[in-house]
This record gives sequence, structure tokens and C-alpha cells, in this order.
Amino acid sequence: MPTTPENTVFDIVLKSSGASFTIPATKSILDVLIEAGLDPMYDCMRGECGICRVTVLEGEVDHRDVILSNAERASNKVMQICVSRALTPRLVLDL
Amino acid sequence: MSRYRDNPEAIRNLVRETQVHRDVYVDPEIFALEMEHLFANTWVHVGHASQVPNPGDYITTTVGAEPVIMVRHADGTVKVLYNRCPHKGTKIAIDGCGNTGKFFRCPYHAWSFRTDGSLLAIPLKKGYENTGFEDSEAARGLTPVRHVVNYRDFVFARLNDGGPTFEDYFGESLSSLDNMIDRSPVGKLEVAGGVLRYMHCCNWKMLVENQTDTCHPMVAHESSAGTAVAIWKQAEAAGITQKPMAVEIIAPFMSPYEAFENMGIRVWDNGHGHTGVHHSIHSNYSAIPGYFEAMTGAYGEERAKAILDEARHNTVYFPNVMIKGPIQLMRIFRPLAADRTLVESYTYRLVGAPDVLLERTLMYNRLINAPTSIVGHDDLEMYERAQEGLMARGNDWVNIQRLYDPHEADQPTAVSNGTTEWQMRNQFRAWAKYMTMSMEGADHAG
Repeated sequence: MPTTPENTVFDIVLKSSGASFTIPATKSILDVLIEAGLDPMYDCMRGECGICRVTVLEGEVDHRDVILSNAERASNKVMQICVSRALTPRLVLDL
Repeated sequence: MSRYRDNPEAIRNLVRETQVHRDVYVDPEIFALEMEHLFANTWVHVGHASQVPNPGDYITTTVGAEPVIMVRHADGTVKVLYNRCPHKGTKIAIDGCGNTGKFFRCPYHAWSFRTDGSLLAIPLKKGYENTGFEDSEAARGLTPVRHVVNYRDFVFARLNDGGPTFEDYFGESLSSLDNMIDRSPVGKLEVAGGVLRYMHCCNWKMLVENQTDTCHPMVAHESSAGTAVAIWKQAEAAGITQKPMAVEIIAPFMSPYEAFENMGIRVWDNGHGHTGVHHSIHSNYSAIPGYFEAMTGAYGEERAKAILDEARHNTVYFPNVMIKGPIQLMRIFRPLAADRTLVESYTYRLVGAPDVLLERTLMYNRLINAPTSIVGHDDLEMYERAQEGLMARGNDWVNIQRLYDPHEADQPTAVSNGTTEWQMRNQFRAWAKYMTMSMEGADHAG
């Protein structure tokens, strides 16, 4: 049984606007974007449905979803922002 | 036993110059072929763009027997999608209308689709890796109806790739739709007042024929319209001079034959046509204060008069739609079975016109078309009697001969005496054409 990973604090940067947000340990990227009044696409919020998939431009992803294939995870080019986090201090997303 | 499938000759033989075989109304195989061919080869009305003003807004409806979704896509265009999950066939949207947000999600396995139908995501998608899924039908998402035209907010679809273009199919008949829309000073309509739905236990074509049947009102509607006229006469005798809107609407149904003869009927190619060429039961409504001024301001006096002087009564858009321009309403005759038809009556607000016009439109719809109407069930009674009567085998033919002209088939467009049954014959000529045009390969099969 996998141990629950520790949540770290990290920053994200949105490519289209250049806006940056700090993601606290208690919130997901999706939570923060919604609270900021943005309108991201999402549905299940459990890492299952695949709808909130986002292209990753910089940084390394801590994948916690159950939808991406091993190849997709290894590519480090996509992530599910409802559950997955960062292994690096900063992610740049194609949003 | 199949008598009509792959047998266009047998289908054409059901339609003679002046009569049609009862099978066109009662035979379930003919009905199935209508859904498969007629409603796929013709341009069928889907909905009005004002029903889906914002991205993600949708309505669900049918084209013939096929369930579809009409949705406003993120880019602002209106899409028509088959309402069927590419996975197991589940209807994606079940409500009559709503807003789906940025995507549709199937309630069965949560496959999701953008509002243009394209596949967005599938849960546990890794299970499809290395299965060739990307080449499957399912990977294409919700199938869009490919041939869709949004004509001044009226959305039409043709399901088959074959068949006429929108412009060729409707031609000059679009003048009736134009006239209804131009009655708005800004040239725009909005669906308003909801929709009235009325189930009929009869064949859909009986309703379409009745729209240009001018020899029935003074007979079938005598009990309702005749009573209204009699009551108004008593009221006048008692000194009441202000004619109520309801009487203005109902009384013309009792107009004598001569009035209907003189109003004229126009036919167009492909089964379209209208009553009320010169005048109609809609000609003598009271002026609405402020309306003519708004129209003159928008169009100039000459053009405003020309728009408002058109009093086209019922315009049939073959196969299953009728509009009343001067009243701003549309009735859709939805075929459900050979002996079952759902009638939907939609009403429109003339954007930029006084609200009293919408009041009159809604009153007309309630009085004439509602399930609680005092006029509509006069007709219903006749249709349902005909559906039952046509089960008699003593006579296989229904007569549509009134004012028949042996040369009429050579005249795609014509104006005639208002009591002619030419438009019914026109519809059946179109019926035979669009029923058989996608069967033609079978002609030589042999």
C-alpha cells in the first residue's frame, strides 16, 4: 500500500497571461484556479475522468491521477490538475 | 413480408395524379421508410438559434426518428449532433433543454465530448492503449450532422449526404420565412412563451395536408368558431362595440367558401406552398399602437407597408413544418409512428416590436393550437376518424382532386384558386421524389 505523499508548496505560471499562483499544501492547482475566478475544464476532481488534463511546458510533475498511461506520465508533458502536483518549485502550464 | 423496401416503383405507385393509396397513412413499413429516406433526404427544421443563446446551451429534439442535440459551440456557431454516445449508444442529453457547460458527459461511463462532438476524455483511458482505438468510430466522438444551415436563426439539417442544397430545396419559399422575420423592426425573432405539445393519434401527413385545406374550417370548426361568432353578434346587439382580440382571431375561421377561394394558394417546387396569397384570415387584425411607426422607422414606409401587407396564412415547409408569418408561430408535426404524431407549436417575439404583438401570438396559439384549444380538437377529431376509417378495405384511395389541372406537374411554381388541393398534390409529388431518391440503386437490382 503506497504511503500518502507529503504535499509541498509550489508555484504555477500560466503561459497565456503570465499570471502566477502559489499552490498551498492544502489545495489543488484546480482549486486555486477556480478561486481566482478562472474557468478551467474539469469534472470528477478525483483524477479519474481526464477532463482537466493540461499541457506542461516547464517543471516536473508529481502524478497522482489514475488515468494517464505510463508513457504519458514519463513524458512529463501532461498532467491532471485536479490531483497531481509538482516535484519542482515551479510548473509552467499551457493555460 | 416487405412490400415497399428497395421497391421504389411500388412506392411511386402509391401516389397517383389525383389520389393517394391509404398505405401512405397506415402502413408501418411505409412509415419506417419515411424515417429512413424522406426525413434524411430533405431539409428538416431542427430549432431556432434563440433557444441556445450562450455557449453550452442545448436543446434535444429529433430529425425524423433520430435523436439529435442542437448546441451552441464555444466558437458561437450552432452544431447539430446525433444524441448517442459513441461508446454504447446511450443518449447523452435527456432533458429538453439546458446548459452543458464546456462539454457533454455521458451518464453511463463518463466519456466526455466538446460541444462540437469531438472526444474530450475517457476515464481509465490507458485500457485502450495499443488496441487501435484511435482508428475506431468511437474515437471520433459524438457524430455531427454534417449538413446544417442556420438561415436567419432558423436551423435546418439534412441527414443524408445526397439530396438538394438548402437553396435549391427551399428556393423562393424562403420568402415566407423572410416575411415573418422582417416583421421585427430589427429583423430578428426570439422563441418566446414556451412550446405547446399536443399528441395526435393519426399520421403526420394528415396534419400537413390540413394546413392548406381551405374547405374544412367552416364545416369542422362550426361548433367552435361558429359559436364564437354567434356570441359576438349577441354582444354587438347589446351595444358592445370593442371587438375582443379572441373574437378577431376565431371569427375568420367561419369565413365563407368564397373568401377562401379568393385568398389564393401558391405552390413551390419540392412540396412547399402557402394559402393566403391575396388576403387571409389574418388580414383584418387591429393595428397595434406604435408598431407601424417602429417598422417605418426601420424600413421606410414603402417597404414597411409591403412587409405588413403580406397576410400569408399557412406556409408549409415540406416535409413537416408550417409557419404563420402574420402571427409569428411555427407548428412542427413530429412523426412518431404511422398512427401517432406529436404537434409542437412554437411562438416568436418580434424583437423591437410592442409586446402586444406577442400577446396576440400567444393568444392565437392558446385558442387555436393548444391541447386545451377550442379549435384544435375539431381537427384532431377529423384526423383520428380518418386514421380509423382508413382501416376499411373497401376503398384503397384518398381523393385529392379538387381543381386538378393535368398540366400542373410541369409548373413548379403557380398561384391558384384558394380552394384547390394542388398543394396536397404538390406535397405528394415531393413525397414520392424524396422517398425514392436514395433507393434508386434498387431500381435496377431486379
